Amino acid sequence: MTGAGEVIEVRDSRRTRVVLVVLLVAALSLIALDYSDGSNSGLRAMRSASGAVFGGIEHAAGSVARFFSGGNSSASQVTSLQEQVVKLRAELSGAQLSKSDLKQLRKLLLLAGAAQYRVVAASVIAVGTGYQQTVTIDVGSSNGVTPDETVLNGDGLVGEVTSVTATTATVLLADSPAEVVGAAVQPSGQLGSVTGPGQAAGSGGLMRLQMLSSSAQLKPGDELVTSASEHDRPFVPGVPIGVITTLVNENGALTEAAEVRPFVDYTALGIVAVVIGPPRHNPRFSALPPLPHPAPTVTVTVTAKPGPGRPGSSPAPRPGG
Amino acid sequence: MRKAWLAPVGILVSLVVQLTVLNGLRLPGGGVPDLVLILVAALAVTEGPLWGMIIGFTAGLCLDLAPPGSLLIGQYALVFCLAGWAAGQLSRSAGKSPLRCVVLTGIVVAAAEVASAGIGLVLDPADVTTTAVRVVLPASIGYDLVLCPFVLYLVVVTGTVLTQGLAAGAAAVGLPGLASRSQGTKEHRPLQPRLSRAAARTGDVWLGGASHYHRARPPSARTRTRLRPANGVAGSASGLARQAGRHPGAASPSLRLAGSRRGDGAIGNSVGSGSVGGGTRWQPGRHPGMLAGAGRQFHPRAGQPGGSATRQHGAGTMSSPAARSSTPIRFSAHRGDGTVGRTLGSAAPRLAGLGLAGRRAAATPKLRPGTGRSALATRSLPRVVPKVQFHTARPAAVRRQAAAPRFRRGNSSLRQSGTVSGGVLSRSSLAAARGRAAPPRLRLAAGRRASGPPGMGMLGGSGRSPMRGPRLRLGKQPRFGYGRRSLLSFLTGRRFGGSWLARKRAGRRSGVWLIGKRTGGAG
Repeated sequence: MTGAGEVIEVRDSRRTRVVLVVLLVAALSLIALDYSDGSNSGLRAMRSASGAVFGGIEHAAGSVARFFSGGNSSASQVTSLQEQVVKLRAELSGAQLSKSDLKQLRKLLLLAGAAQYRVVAASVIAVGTGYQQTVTIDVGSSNGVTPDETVLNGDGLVGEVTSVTATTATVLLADSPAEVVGAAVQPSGQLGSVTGPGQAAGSGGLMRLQMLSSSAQLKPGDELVTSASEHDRPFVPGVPIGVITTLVNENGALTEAAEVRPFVDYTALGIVAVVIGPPRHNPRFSALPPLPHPAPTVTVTVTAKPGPGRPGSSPAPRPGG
Repeated sequence: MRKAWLAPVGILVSLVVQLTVLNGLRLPGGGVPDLVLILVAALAVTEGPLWGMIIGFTAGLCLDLAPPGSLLIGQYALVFCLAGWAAGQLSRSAGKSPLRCVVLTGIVVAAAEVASAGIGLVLDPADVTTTAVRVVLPASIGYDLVLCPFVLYLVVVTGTVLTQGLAAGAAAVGLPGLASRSQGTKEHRPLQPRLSRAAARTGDVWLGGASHYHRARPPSARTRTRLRPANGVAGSASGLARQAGRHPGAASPSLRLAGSRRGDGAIGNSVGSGSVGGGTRWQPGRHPGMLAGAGRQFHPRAGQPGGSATRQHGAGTMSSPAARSSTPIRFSAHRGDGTVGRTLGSAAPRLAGLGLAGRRAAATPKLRPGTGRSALATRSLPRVVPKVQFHTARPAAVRRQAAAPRFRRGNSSLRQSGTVSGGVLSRSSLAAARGRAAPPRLRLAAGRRASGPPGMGMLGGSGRSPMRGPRLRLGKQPRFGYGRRSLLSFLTGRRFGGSWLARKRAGRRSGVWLIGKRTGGAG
């Protein structure tokens, strides 16, 4: 592209202008199409096709990256973990697990086991650009994942599945400002809604809890779990969200508000899980991280009973299921 | 054309890296660099606005469609398209300075970040909040600006490698060892100096048409011929031979004509022959075709009609040309002149007078009259010394030649009057010369007019003009690489090298351009 290309470029500024206008019109019309009709079949087909292509590439790249980032993997630990997986009725994918993955997975299984979720483990293979609070995970409809399912990791709530291809799924993170999560405050069980700060979360932005009832009493240190949604979509009940750090007293506000530090570090997501089977009973606060840290042995933590030291069994109205 | 793969492959790789690695990084400040955007801007800088915006649109569309994308389709396509166009336009105005280029690219990238944030605020108010923008935007712009020069450097070097071979790329990044090691493979040809010893190969005939040719002596280490990248390419001499039409049976002489500098006329200086009668203007001590064999100085008299070279041969160490003896005369290049003919087969010189009227060869290479010291006169013009210079028909060269005739010693008043002392150019001839596509270069040898008859209006002389161009640095070894090329030189464009934009201008001929500049040629 040196010789003739340059000559053409020098000569054809008019053609440059024409092409510029054409491309701009194309981009704007794409935006307009997508904006006006979100369910446009052509655009959706485009997106799913590109999702298949780029998802495959990201799948490969993600596995390569995990292979290199992981460090030494312990085969015996992996096999023992597979037994845990069977024991916890969770379906796990992924043969090569690094140590950090192992840790995350163990926490995840603890959480899922405590709350009796049926989960599909996945790993994050791509992260959205710019201000999009989305990630791509490496399970898809072939693994039984459908849209509007809850995604969690060992620390708590990650987000919800928004779209699914055969092998990948896109997750809208819970710290997105577009995401509104119903939450229950730990001791009282009172309900509120949590919205995320967007990408500012990476630099210390906090989620915001707005209570629904004006009589709700909050104090710093209270922990939040998801309250149940209708048919457990998009959020299954009992997933830990975060802990209240400060109360926000706004003049004239009818209900109380607070800032919530999420349990999950949304900028360092590794192993996550999609809840494909909701619990039979509302786990309530059983999945919250226990205050006195128990020894992380399987025999202790695998029990599905609510923790003995947890005072969260007050008879609050059980929403949903 | 392998460079055509650079943009798609680079965009794809950067897209995957962006989505899988960079976006997941937890950097202080909250933002991450937008590698795809930077790459689009860098590619636009090297490819121009047209390809820049096409690349930008495609990359943006891919970014919109790739799986985690949740924004409206077309947002990034719009922004990146504009960014590619702007980067291409601004890099054009950046001129020669790579530093300015980097700065302008950084401005474009920053503006594109702001634009994408603004579009997000307008179109996706649910996803993009002002607090997030306030936190993330400065950080990501900062990371972009940090990454920008490196990506630009990488793109330029990769493009150089893909178009001009590994040697050029290695030279561009300052790895002379790699550059010299990898020279000689096929794709490095355009930058390699064309050796001018081809006349001595078996089966070659000498241009002059002697039935024999003289084998060159092997060059001694002390008086190495300095070669310069050929301006003329292979076959240019044969074109001349055909044009002369004197040797129907002869094979094409595989003369590689050097002489990238104007006024060098790098071949003809060594030719004095019977059929293509030549009168060479020898400049004592200056001439590229100077005899440099066994310590004898070859001092042909300048400006003497009648083929002073041959006369000198007869008077000097060589046998008479009339005797058609085959004394080999080795013409070594001198002072950075790349010369061609190392052997001189000289026979029956034609009396060569002064004249402007030359013949433009119909075939490439163009036979341009009036420049240089070399002379080849055809028999049809017995009293004319056309100054011969071989050029390939390249647009850059043509553009460069379009100026008025240059005078070796003169100023603007001379040019205005159209006359010079010596009376070579009249006003009419100047007008005629201007009207021609390739005007004759008049070089009045100022310092050497004493050696020739006054009033001869001697043509030729040194190939450089004192009016422009750096002076010939005597004793300076011509350099055949691009020299030290570091990131610093890339950024500053100063004497460290940094002539990649010049390379862009001159295309593949930039090696010639650079060396001509370095060694003090008039180019």
